[in-house]
Amino acid sequence: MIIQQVKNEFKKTITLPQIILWSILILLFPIIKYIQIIDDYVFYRQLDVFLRVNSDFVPLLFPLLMILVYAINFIGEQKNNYLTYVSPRIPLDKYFYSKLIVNGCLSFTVAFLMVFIPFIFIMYIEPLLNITQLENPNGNPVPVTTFEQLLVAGTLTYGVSYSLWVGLNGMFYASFGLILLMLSNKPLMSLSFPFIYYLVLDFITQMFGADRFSPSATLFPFTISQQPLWTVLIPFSLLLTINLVLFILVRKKVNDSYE
Amino acid sequence: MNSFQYRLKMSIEEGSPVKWFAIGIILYMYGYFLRLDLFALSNMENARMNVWDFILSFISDVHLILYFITPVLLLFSLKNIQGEFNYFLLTRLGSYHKWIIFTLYKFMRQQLLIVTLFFAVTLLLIISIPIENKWSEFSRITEGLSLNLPANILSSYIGHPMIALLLHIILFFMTFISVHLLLAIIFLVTQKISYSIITAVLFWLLGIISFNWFPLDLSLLVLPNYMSYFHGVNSFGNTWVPFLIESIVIIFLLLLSTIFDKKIKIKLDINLKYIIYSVLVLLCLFSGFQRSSFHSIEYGFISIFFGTSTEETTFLSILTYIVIYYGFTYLMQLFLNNEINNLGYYKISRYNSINEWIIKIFQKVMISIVILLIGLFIFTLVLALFLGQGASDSSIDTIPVMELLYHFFINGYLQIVFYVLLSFIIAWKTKEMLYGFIVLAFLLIFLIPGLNPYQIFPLGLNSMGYLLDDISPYKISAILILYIIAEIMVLYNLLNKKDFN
Repeated sequence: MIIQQVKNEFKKTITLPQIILWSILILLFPIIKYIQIIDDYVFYRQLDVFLRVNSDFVPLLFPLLMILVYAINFIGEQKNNYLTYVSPRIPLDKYFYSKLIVNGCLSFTVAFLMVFIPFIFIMYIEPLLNITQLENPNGNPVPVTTFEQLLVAGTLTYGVSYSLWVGLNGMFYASFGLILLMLSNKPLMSLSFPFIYYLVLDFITQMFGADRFSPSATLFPFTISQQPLWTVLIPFSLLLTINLVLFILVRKKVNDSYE
Repeated sequence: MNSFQYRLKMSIEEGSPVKWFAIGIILYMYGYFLRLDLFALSNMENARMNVWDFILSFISDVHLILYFITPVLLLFSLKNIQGEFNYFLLTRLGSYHKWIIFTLYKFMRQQLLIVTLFFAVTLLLIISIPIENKWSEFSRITEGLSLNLPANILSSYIGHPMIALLLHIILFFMTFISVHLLLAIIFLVTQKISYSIITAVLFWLLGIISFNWFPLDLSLLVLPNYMSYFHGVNSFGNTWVPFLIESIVIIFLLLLSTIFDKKIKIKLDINLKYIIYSVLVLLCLFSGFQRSSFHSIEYGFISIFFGTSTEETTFLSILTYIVIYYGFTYLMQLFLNNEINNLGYYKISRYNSINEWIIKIFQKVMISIVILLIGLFIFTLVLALFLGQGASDSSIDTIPVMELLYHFFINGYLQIVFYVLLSFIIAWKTKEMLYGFIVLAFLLIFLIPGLNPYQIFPLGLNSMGYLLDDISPYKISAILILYIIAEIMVLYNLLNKKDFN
């Protein structure tokens, strides 16, 4: 039943306007950033271009972009009493779970592509077009970032696993907002909360000089020097715990609403 | 009251022997190692120590007090406050003030027990330490020691060790009395023990943080200065400042505790979101001053509210800008959201026209913006007085103070008005404040330098960074005012649109 519902949900969601919205989400900021940096900066490695493209915009707005993928559509259903008419047709818990699954899949895909498409373009297509000129470091220090430990396994492996990492985080930020919305019925509070959480945590870690544990630097490591890989797991595990707790709460709420 | 609570209450009142015994054992073990350390030190210095050295170092040991005694006493204080609050007792005592004093006495008795326990343990530990009635040879050594030893510091200020001990105990009592008063008052104001618990935890954390990391300029805020006499003497450089400050605090709190009885029951609606916002803003101010490395007030001001500029900025200063100004806008959004969605229809029907309603609401917003700016200004000044040195920095001299103030107040005001109006327009159009939030958040990208040529986008224009770029604040005001006028026109059209012709 739940599989059927997930299929329905996908069918309902994947429409042309949505696909256009997703492509805008994926491509807009990398393109702006790319145009902005292409003439102004000096690059030593092709990878630097990719890292630069991922700086500034996407790190600043990441959780918000993830909310826009799918979770925001749920407001309408909740507000217009749609859910009341859902429950005669399908158990509400199945309905909620299928929403969460679809939300997870879509936000994962969008976050993944948001990094992976620029990666493929910059690492494989752009050198053929010869747009950026790489320069010789001449003894200048070349900045090395976290996750480059994976480069030894090959460039593509690095790209795929880094994109997977961003996708996973994006998925959890999106679920964070959606579950909160399911719990509280307050769109402003619940959907803005992941973003506020992200910014505040960033702010606090920056202020106490623990940049390497800040959510944005563990996702988009351009701003800080290379850190051991385990550091990225700390904000992630915090996010994971929050998601688990919220999921347990929403499960309880949905089950209770039957009695 | 169920039996468990009753037993809990009794055990605190009577003081179950097991608990005191456990505390005693911990004290004994700590004291034992301290004694060994002292012996080793005095052997190394080749100077005889006496019993006062040990007593003073043991009783005013900062680590012991901060990490062990403070949590224990805070726990006692909280349990007293919660356990003793019932309306029978209040009726019997007659007033809130008397209730506070009543719990204070209970708390002081427990404090006295702890001090007694200290002395009992001390008696066990001073066996075989020479007893004298004056400062020892060892305590006369003031230089070259690796540790700050209480006796060695106090001996150069105070004539007799007995007086030093007495002063320490009095200060210790005073500090925890003021803490208890504070917790009790918070409990009475909010009627919830959780706020007192949060305060207690924050107090303890501040104690630890201030002990470990605060610089010497911040002596006033370093809590161990008030918990341990020698520490206070050492950092203030005199014997009376800790007492003076503690007395002021206690008198202030006692006065505050009488307010509850003036028939005006203040029921403060303290909201968690405002507390979080204020804590974050305070953090901003602190870190800003830290970054400005205490040059001058103007310099601190600019570095805190730096925000963005045409050429460069740091991620932290953008974040600070977001926390202060966007955080406030978010609070306003929550308020407006409530007005639009929950109260809107009922409230609007009370007024003659929708314009009247909107003016009423925006009056509140305007006033809170003024309060925010003045509050930020005053807090920054107070912090500057504590941290700054007042010396002017040469690179800032080119900016007149008047221009700085104009930029901070007028442009800050206009900028926040712009944010709030924009999110209100979007919220009114879509009937959902979230979209207003999202649009504002997306506009954040204009804070990143290089995307805002000639400041045509009214985002982050009140950041101090623009002043350093020699951009006239009056030009910025003009831009913001133009945008606000446009917004007001849009809003007027939206609100007065005829649904039917």
